[in-house]
Amino acid sequence: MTDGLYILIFLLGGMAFPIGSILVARLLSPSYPEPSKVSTYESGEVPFGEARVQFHLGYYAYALVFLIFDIEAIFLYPWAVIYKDLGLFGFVEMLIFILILVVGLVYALKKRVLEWM
Amino acid sequence: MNWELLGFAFLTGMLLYSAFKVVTTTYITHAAIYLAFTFVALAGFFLMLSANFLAAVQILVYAGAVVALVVFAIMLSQRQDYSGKPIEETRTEKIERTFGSQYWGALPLVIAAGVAAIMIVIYRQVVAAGYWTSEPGPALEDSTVAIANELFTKYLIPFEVVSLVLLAAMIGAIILTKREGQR
Repeated sequence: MTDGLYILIFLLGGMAFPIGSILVARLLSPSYPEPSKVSTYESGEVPFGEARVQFHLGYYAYALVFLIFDIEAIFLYPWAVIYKDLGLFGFVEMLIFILILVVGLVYALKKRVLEWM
Repeated sequence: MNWELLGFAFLTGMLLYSAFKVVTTTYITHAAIYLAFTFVALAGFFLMLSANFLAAVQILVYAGAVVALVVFAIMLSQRQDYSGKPIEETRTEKIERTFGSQYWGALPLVIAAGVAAIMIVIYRQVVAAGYWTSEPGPALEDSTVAIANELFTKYLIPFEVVSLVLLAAMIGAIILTKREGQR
């Protein structure tokens, strides 16, 4: 349960940091709101329209490719844990695994999924 | 004080509340955030069961990537489809909208409660019949190492097949999201 305790400490610390900064900022900062101050900051320009815009649909493929590589990365964790025991065998094993997925990355590049749209 | 029970109660509360809010909140982006909280609470359960690797998977893949995907889908959708405005309503209206619609009433709630009741009855029966022991087995000292040892030796071929499945998923996703004639 000591591992769980570490995680709990990290969790509480991680939560305390943003909450604490926001609270301290709110307590210490002077607040004299006026319409021009509270309006949305847009590089000094007068903001117009709405903040929400529809992004190019092509970026969805981006997100999907990210998801796939995220799942790939997950498998690296248990592999890294016993890498020393596996030796060269484990190295080749993971190399094959990654090379198969690199094919997918090359395909995505060829299909110009990862380009700015 | 029983810390395990306290943690379990906290996680259960977090899980149920956020799962409830996912379907009842009027902000679609908030629904995505609540979904992330639901996944994190579930990861907490995995941690309590000393399934550390599963907890990491839950956080990284579900709370990380899947929620990011949901947010992407919201961003990419037409603005008219999503109502960012909170619905102005009285407290009773809110309760009415949350717990019952005009046609179905509290049916979902009744079904959920019924399924939960049936599961509890079945679980008790099974335990009473002695198929499962109600006491859990000893937790593994290091579940990640145990998983790794199995995965990279005994289940080597399935592991490599996983990469093929992922490759197929990736190519399929690209083909489906890329429109014809689009560069």
